[in-house]
Amino acid sequence: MRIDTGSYLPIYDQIIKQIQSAIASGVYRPGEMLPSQRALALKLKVNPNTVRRAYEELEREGVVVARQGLGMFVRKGATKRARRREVDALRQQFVHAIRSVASDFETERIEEVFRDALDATRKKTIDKSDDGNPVIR
Amino acid sequence: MIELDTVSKQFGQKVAVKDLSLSIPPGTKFGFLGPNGAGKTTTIRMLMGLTRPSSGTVRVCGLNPRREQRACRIQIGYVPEEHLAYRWMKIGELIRFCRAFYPTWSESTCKRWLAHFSLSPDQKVKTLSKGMLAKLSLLLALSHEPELLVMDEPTSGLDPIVREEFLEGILDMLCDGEHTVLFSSHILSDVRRLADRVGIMFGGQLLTDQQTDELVASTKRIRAVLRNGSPPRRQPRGIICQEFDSREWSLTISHFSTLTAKELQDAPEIRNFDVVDLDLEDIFKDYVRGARE
Repeated sequence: MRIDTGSYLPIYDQIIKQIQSAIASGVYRPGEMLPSQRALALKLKVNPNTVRRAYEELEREGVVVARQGLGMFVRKGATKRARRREVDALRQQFVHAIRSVASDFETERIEEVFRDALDATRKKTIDKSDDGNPVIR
Repeated sequence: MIELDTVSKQFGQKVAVKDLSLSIPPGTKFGFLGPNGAGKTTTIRMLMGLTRPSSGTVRVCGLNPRREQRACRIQIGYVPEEHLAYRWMKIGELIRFCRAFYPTWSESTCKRWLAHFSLSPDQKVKTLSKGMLAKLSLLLALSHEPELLVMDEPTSGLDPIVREEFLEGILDMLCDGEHTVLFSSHILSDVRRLADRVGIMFGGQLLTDQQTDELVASTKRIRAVLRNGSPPRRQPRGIICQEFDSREWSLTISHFSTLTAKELQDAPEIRNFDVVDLDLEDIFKDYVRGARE
């Protein structure tokens, strides 16, 4: 996890998003413990109150649960919920992009651009060239 | 924890701090921003009882920092702008010297930070690098386990590695209990990480005082295209600074909301507009720019 101090996004928001994506991708699984607030504050170099706020929010959202004196644990079913939330976030980004630049495009045109973009990202796999340096194709 | 009520300080003809009121409750991590000469150091020195205010009242930990200096000082960990006098002493001697002032001095905290910062009691203070001096200064401020930590540009001029170690020292303290911190800094990424509240000072006055996240999330820059070059007669509230360039009107606004957006949408003088997110550095600069004009 990394904190971007240049972002307009509040730091606790950045922490929430990154923990959610870590849960969605299986870095932390249900029943497992998240890093302690202290450990995360020291690792990310942020005010411990900020970490606490992020953890409290994650608890409210039902992704994690606090066990008295132990720490924060990933809840049963959290992986699915976190994945669904990522899909929601992706959808929101699409909505924003379409509204801001493509509001007067026809549906077919938007679909075409979308497929193009998808192809472009899928093709970008990293291979090794003969001299051992990575090449992006 | 800290209460300033209409505090002013004049040096001869020069006004360093003007009618400053500020209330910082316990547990707050307050970051003090401002260009050089804004009055930050003078304010901090008044909190420490080192400078007497020309008018107004200062209370720190419920005490008058000037009249009850000793009682006040033992509750504060202070990292001054100029790190440390007593350069002829060895580190060990300096520690023994400082320890005598503080009834709450913790030998184990002191030892832990000596080891963590790789400082040896036998080293002479005058042989230390700038980074090591800063670490020693922080060690002395943390070793009596104060409730309140006051730091005046603690990380300026330090390399990124020392700065990180320094930050770790402060965070380590903050993780244990509800400490209050007030610090001034020009390193905005440190402020963003450490401060939950930010005050921007200029010309001896506080331009704004807000929760850090709220400040960064709700301060926006608007780029508006004007129909005929003149701005709306009813200007939106909260303008921090503005600039005209032909038909483009760019303005930075505090506490931007859907209401502000609606006002701009409804203004017949505006053809269209964009809302741009800002980082803490842009926000800081725009506040100072606006105050200069």
